[in-house]
Amino acid sequence: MPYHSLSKLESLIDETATVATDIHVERGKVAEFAHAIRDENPVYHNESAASDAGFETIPAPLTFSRIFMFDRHLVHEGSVPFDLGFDEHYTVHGEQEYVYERPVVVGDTLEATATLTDVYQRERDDGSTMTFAKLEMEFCDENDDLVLTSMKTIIETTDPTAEDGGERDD
Amino acid sequence: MEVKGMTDSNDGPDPREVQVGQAGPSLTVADIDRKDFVKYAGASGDFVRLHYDEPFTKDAGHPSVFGQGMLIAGFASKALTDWVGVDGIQRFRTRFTSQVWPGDTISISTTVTDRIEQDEGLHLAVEFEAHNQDEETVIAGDADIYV
Repeated sequence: MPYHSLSKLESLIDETATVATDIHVERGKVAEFAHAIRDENPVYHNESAASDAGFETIPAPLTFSRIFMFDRHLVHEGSVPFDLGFDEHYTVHGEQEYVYERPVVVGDTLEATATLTDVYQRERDDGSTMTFAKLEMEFCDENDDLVLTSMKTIIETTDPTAEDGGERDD
Repeated sequence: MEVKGMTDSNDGPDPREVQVGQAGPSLTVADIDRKDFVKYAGASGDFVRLHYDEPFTKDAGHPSVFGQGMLIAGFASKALTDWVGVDGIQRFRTRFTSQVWPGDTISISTTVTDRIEQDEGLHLAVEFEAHNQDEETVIAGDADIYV
């Protein structure tokens, strides 16, 4: 179970927090990410291929913005800016949606803010509880123009074999 | 281009000509490996342990580490961006249904569900689905494309 009650989680709804600032979209990282998703399209690592495809500079793969949610970019520790108290053993990514105003490209400097838009719980047949949290993130560039909006749902489930929902990692 | 681990890919019909109900591009990603999970963790900065720390993951009740849902979404996104360019995708949504395990082969298929001529261009709505070698769906979703 999350470490906070549902009502405590619900009190966080509509709170907005800055998640990450000074996100520099870097050429090497774009190429590394493309390789990691087994996408060898030269547009992601070759300027002239990008130009031939109609881009001013190298674009990032569609799901690249995923990386902005982790580690060095973050203002807070952990990929969720709100203290949901979810147990890492039992937290999974339920759904992810991206809406683009324009592609993210190498050279962009972005800032991300996040809003917790919903929190709710569901009982499963085995008696365990699933807690859902929906987060909406907006990424703006150095001109303060919205580049993309990301909406994700994360789900925390109790471990039905544990009495207290399992140990927290670290 | 030959890439180890990528097998069949069907580039799909011309996006300007494709009709509602027709299949779009498809893609098969063979021999998913723990190394894929590690490469993706490094590239994305996502160090959730369920994807690379086997003792931790078994302790949580799973048979082994499993793939990041967004890694599989990355494969699906590649099928679409190879088809219409990364600038052609205005919206992309995915949900994660089943885990992907080391050794799995994932097949991604797409279907055009709507086609509307708009001022901004030809708008295609596409649904996609990825399943493993046992025909179990692992991720599924939809996208809005402007050609």
